[in-house]
Amino acid sequence: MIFIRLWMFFAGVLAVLFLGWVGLVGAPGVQLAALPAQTGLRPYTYQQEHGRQIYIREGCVYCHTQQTRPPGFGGDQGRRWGRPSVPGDYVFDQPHLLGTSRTGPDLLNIGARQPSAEWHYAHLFNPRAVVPQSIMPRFPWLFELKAAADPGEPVVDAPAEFRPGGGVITPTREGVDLVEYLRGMDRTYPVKP
Amino acid sequence: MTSITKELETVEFRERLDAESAIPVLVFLASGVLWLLVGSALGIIASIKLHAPDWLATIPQLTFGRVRPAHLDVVAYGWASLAGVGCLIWLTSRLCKTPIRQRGALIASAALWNLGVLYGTGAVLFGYSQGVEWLEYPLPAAAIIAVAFLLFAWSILSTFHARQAEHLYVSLWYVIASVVWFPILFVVANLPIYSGVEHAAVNWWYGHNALAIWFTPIGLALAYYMIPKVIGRPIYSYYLSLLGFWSFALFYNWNGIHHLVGGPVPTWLQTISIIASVLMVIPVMAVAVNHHMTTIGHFKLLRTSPTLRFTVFGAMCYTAVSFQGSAEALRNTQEVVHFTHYTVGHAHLGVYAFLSMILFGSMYYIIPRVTAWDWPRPGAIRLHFWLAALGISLYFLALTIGGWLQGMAMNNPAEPFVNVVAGTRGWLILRSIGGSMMGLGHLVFAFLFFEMLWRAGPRRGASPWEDAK
Amino acid sequence: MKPENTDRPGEHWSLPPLLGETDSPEIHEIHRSILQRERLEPQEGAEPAPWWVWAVSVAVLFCMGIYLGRYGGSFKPVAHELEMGSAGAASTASARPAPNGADIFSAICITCHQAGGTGIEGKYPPLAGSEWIAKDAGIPVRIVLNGLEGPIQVKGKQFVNQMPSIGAQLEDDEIAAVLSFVRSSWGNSSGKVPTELVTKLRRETAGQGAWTADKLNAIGGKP
Repeated sequence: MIFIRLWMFFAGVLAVLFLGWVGLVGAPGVQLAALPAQTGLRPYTYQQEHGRQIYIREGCVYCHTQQTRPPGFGGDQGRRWGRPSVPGDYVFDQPHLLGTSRTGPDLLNIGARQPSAEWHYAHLFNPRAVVPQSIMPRFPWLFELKAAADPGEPVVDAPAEFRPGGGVITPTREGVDLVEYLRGMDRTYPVKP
Repeated sequence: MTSITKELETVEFRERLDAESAIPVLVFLASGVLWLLVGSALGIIASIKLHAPDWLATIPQLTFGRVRPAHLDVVAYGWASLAGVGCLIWLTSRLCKTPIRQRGALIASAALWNLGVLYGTGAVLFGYSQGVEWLEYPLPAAAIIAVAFLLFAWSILSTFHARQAEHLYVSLWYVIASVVWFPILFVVANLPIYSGVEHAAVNWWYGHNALAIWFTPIGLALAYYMIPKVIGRPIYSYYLSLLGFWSFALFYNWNGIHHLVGGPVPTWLQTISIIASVLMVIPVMAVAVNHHMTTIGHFKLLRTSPTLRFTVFGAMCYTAVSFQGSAEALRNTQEVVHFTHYTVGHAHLGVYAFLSMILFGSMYYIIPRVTAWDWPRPGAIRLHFWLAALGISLYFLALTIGGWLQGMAMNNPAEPFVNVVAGTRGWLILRSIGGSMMGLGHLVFAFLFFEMLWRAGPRRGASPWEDAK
Repeated sequence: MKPENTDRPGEHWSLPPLLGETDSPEIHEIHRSILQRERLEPQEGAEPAPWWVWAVSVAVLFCMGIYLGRYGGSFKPVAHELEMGSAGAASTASARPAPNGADIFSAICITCHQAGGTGIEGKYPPLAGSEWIAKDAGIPVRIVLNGLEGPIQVKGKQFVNQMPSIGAQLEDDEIAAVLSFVRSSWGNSSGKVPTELVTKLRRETAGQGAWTADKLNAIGGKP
């Protein structure tokens, strides 16, 4: 243990942990706390925040990132997933949902890339109806089977096999809010330093 | 040698130590084995869903995005932690040459720990996750586990305080350091005060440190003990042990942000984590040389001792996974493999091929000593080893190759994204096959384990076979 | 049977009977025999660490010092400094590359119209062989700029859906590039779309809502 006295061993052990914390959490925390939100960024609405909770609940983060890499680093720019994201794009995110896996595409700007609510409903109800090769799970529990849609209520374009006995499929409140969250994902505003 | 030291070396003394730690050790190990079966089932379900997305598709609790974190949490906080604690209790008593202290606290710790994992995993499956990788458990579940850990740490530190050993063997440095480190890390990371990019930094400071200051010390402490113990010769070099431990402690803490390379994180922060990851070459080299020089000339024992076979496999994979990690952290590699299944392969090389294999090996050594019963079926142990070793090899190779190809395709914008997804399918099927082999091995192991617990199975006579000369 | 715990308070805990056969002389014998064939507790040898371990350690430290100097960036909370300079993503220095129609199609259009421009039966109309694409270039440009809704007949099949406006997402030359790609792929051969046409139509149709098949027919394909 090299240290002459045992307390020095414990002091060393605590010191290395503390040093690592200062470097990776403390120092960047102080720096980042001083940064303002990007001017184009809006706080989530109540509905979007609820949708975000559904996104967390269903574990979307395990297959989708919300971060875009710079030119010269990966294919993000060529895929038009959006300009490189910066710390100020995330100030309203608690918890953060940066993600570490792209089994599916990045979603930082999905609202700008795919603004159609109808597409999102069809996709969440059965991803393979709109992307035949997709391996994304279906989320039938975000939808319900009804005799008829209420006025103004969106209807999912689903084949008859999903509607035994007729009727229509409409998103639940959770489904509607999740799609509102996804459609609000738009960090295409220019970056201010 | 004084007469007291001599007394501490007798068979009677060891018999007494083992008998005293038997119940807490077995409670933790049995919990660990049960969680291993649960974790394997969750892992296999998640794996199959990636190539058969319409399987079990209408059960919300079994959707991929819930099963996958539940798998991680069960194998990390259930299997690896509980089995690891069981092994560390036995190890600490042996190395301190004194009976384990605070056994009541240990039993309470095991009960709370199981409760925490059950509650936390149930919460994830039923939709109450915190949504942060490695920190999915809701705060009450995390708090229960924190208390359980503190009870365990109390027992270990009390035993350490009452030690009768004059020399503090290297395994003990890792054990003592990790029981001091982990509770601090776990509590600080679970504080509900972070947001945005800082939260991401805390997330990966924790996520990587869970490996660095909890799981890896368990594996290394056990490897440092089992290899010289079974072979019956001293560990090669005290100086290498020193270099290995302190460089490990100094550098490993700084690795976490390599999970965010290329992301919206200050450049300097990414760079220091990459540097620390590369500097891990130093401790890993020290440990590898130390273990190799100890084992050299005794490799034939790998055939007769399951403990040594599993442990040496694990120790070699530690070297492999660490060097791979150093290379993987570099920007050029991250550009390709970040966000792909390659990373998943790397993670399993660490937590399975390194840590779990060493846990298996150690359990093959410890369990006969705490149950006073010999392993009944050498053939089944061999079957367990080969299912696990071949399963993880297939798993790792499939995800490493498939993940690399996935990353190359993803970085080529002319390749439509759906084609990138479709291209991983074959590799993911191979991964399911490898994972199922590992799962089968766990069934064999669990069967053997519970036979031991009930002192069932064919009785093996006095003829020693496990670590025979 | 087993030695009593004499040096500290606390009872001796024996294995509970639930574990099958309880303590018996025979079990005791088995335990003894397991322990007797055990080696001594591990010790530490005093071999010096090989010289090359130190050499490699120093070399790695040295290289990482250089790495820090080269890639450390400034000690500021700025991301992407290495790729985009000290202002990070706020820098305007990174010129937009010339637009590539195939990449844009793969990034945006493909989610509905699919690789190969086949569309999805009953949902999203095909682009391959579509008479709307082959007509005057002004028609697809208008659809991309402002979107399309309501029933439309494509290759003899009826589609009822909504296409969102993509105009805000793409620059004029990008729309020209992707439509040129569409009009010359999968058997289509109706030629390039000039950027000037997109610029002109964007100005003329500003404020126009989504198109319908009827409105497009009314234009008659003549901008």
